[in-house]
Amino acid sequence: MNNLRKNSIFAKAYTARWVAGVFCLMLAVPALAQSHVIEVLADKDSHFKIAGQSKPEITVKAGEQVTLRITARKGKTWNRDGSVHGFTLLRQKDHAKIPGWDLELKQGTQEFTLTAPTEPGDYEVLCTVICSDDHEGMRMKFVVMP
Amino acid sequence: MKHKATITAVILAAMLSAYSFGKDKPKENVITLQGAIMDSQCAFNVHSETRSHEWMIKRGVQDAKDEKSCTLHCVKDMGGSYTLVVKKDVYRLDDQVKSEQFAGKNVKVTGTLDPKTNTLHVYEMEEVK
Repeated sequence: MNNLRKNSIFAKAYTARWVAGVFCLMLAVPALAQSHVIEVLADKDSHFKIAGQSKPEITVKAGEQVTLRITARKGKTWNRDGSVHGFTLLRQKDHAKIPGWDLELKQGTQEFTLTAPTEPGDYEVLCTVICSDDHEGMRMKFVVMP
Repeated sequence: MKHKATITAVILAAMLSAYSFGKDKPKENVITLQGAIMDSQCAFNVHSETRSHEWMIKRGVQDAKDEKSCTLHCVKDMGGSYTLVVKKDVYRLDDQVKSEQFAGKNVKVTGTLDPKTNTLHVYEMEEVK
């Protein structure tokens, strides 16, 4: 009799945990789906490229979570540690670096989950690896909306 | 009673100062290195096996006329960071504000090294002429 009661308690606890797990999953899935994914190509010709944009520009909301999926292709020169391009965000008005937005890119595709600056305004993405004679022009506009 | 309180306060103050001194400047692992303050782009790139600004200056990049101007241009305009170059070794520096004062110059740096990131936690930096 005691064993039966014990089994029933365990079964109830198991079911409760299972229901809680499903509930958490239901909350997590929409949150993941809402993540702003931005795909960028850091190309071998020292240009940032975004599909469907002739003049690439990134627009985000202040403070939002952003997933950057960057594919990097090796240019004419690179860093000794294998970084082929950089992806560094500077505030345009004073060229201040944005903490956390100083990425070194290896050949291939890589993902970074970052938080957008909280201050709305104009920013600039720059390559920080000397990748070719055109390296100085490897930059892209980045706008933070309120 | 007052006497006891004073003694306790003195002991506490001594412990606190010893702790903060130890935290800021651990006597162990403090190293001194001598090298040049250089931008990360020129320091890490394959174009500069000699860890110099020669390639940038030869190419006539605007605002890169000598060691100082090239370093400042690459950091302030192009998003790089200040590093310490000692022969063929390149160290990242945690104190970027202090490093800026010595851009392109030869310096002696005292600090501790984080071997994981190869970053120097700078205590002192002075120019070597």
